[in-house]
Amino acid sequence: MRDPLALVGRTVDERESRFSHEDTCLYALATGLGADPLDPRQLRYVWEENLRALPAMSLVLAYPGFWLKEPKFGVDWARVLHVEEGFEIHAPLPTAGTVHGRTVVTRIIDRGAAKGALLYSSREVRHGADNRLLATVDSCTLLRGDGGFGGPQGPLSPPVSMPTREPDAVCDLPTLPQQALLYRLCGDFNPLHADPEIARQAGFDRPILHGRCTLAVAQHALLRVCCDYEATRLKSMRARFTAPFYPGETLRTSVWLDGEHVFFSAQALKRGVTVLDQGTARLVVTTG
Amino acid sequence: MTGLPALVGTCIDAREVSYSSPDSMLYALSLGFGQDPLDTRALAFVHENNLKVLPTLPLVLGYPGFFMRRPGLSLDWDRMLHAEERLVLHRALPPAGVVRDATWVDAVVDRGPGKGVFVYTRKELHSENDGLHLATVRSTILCRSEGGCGSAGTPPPPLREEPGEVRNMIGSVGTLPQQALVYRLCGDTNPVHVSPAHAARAGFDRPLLHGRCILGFALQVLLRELLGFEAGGISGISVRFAAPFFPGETLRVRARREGRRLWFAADTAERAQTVLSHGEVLLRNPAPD
Repeated sequence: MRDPLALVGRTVDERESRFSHEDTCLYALATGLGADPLDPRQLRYVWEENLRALPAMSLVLAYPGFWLKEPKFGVDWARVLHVEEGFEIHAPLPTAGTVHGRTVVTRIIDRGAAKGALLYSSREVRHGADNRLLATVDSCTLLRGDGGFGGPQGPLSPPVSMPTREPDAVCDLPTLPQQALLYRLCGDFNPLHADPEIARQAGFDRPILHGRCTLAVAQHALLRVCCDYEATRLKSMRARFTAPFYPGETLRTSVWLDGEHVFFSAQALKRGVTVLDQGTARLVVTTG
Repeated sequence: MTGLPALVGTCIDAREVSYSSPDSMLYALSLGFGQDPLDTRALAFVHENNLKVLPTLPLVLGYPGFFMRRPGLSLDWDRMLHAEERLVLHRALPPAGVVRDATWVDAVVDRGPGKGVFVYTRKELHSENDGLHLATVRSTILCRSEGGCGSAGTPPPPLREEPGEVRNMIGSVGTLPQQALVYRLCGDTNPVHVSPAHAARAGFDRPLLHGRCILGFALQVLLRELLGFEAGGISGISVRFAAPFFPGETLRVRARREGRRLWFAADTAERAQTVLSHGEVLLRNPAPD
């Protein structure tokens, strides 16, 4: 990586993007909503009549693409891993319109030449019309080939203390074999999620599902378990990606409720492998 | 009284449509391509590397939408059914581009009060930059509430059916419960395919799958089982939508090859009801045996 410390605080991507009702429906379908087409609560997200946007759509709005691949940053991009993602909603997302996104590198932690470097970035998503802040999206990426540059070794985000009791709810959601093919049309065209040969070269048996899509499937679980599919009640969500999840697998999301705070983790049901861990979310608690 | 016969000979919709590679990919995904994400032959239609285009893409480009909902026509659009489709592909379409289309009403055939009326439309698709004629799409729509309005114009010759019956089952394909929800993003947003209430008004238990989407699934089976996914050889397709098919059902396709022609029909595995009949695919070159 070229001069990693100079990257901190730098705007690495800024863009305006337009999206339509169809894009909003496609996002919901690509993350598993509408799997029961007779459930009116799901139809609200996949049909333009009384359409609503899912909070996790903030992950793809004004999406900067794979900016780490740009030669000017000098990152060993073939060896990066997406390790953490989260969003916070400040105002309900529109279902169509123009949004403005600005991605800033907020922190780089040097874990040594063997482990690599952790790069934290944050994207503000603003409404194109009045510039109001809609969402903040935080990502953490492990640059496996870029550690050992003598940078700061902390502060690392403290791990989330997950409840030790049995989960309060468990929700199983199957995904489609073609889930990644559909999801990539929302803007993340990384061939790792579509091209079997490239997936093999990266060390996977077959194309893996986008981490952000897996997180959105867990969002679906939270909406079902905690919110009666009322998406405006979900204010924030974040989790760590701990293992690949494959399209066609069933995601089992375990949920712990603590007032407005929610903890969750998720595993690939058949393999028993945890793919999302240290998940946290915040809800608006309804009274009465 | 509806003004359907007066529409004959008029252009009811004309527009310029630009479409992108992701649009072409979404179209193929909405027809079940990519269901096996490791089948690289089908992946060629849903991945931007050397993206291949399905011959039926003209069915959704420049879709005239609900011209029948135009004020002044006062048609009962909930009770319309797509009855037949005929595609002639003059040239292969690129995976992305700009097309001009115009839709005309060629004929209105009245079956009498209570029996409905067939409306025959024709959509002509041209390439925007060089004006080349790309495709002609003829659609037959049954307006079930408008019988008795009178006839006008000349309908196309009736669809042919293979003499006897196409009996040879070549393969089947499953559809998703949310299939119609995905397919409608390609442009046909008729609520009868998404809204249980509209479906009930139209006389169905639940939203039904778009006829053109069922045709696309049949095409997928034909390409997979008989044509090695070589879609470029197809120059025309015609079919009759014989009965409703519901999202989530499995489509079984029967077919028989005869020179440059494939006769086909399809039914639901669940109800054994024929949903596509009079199917005919025309191939550009004599097909190898």
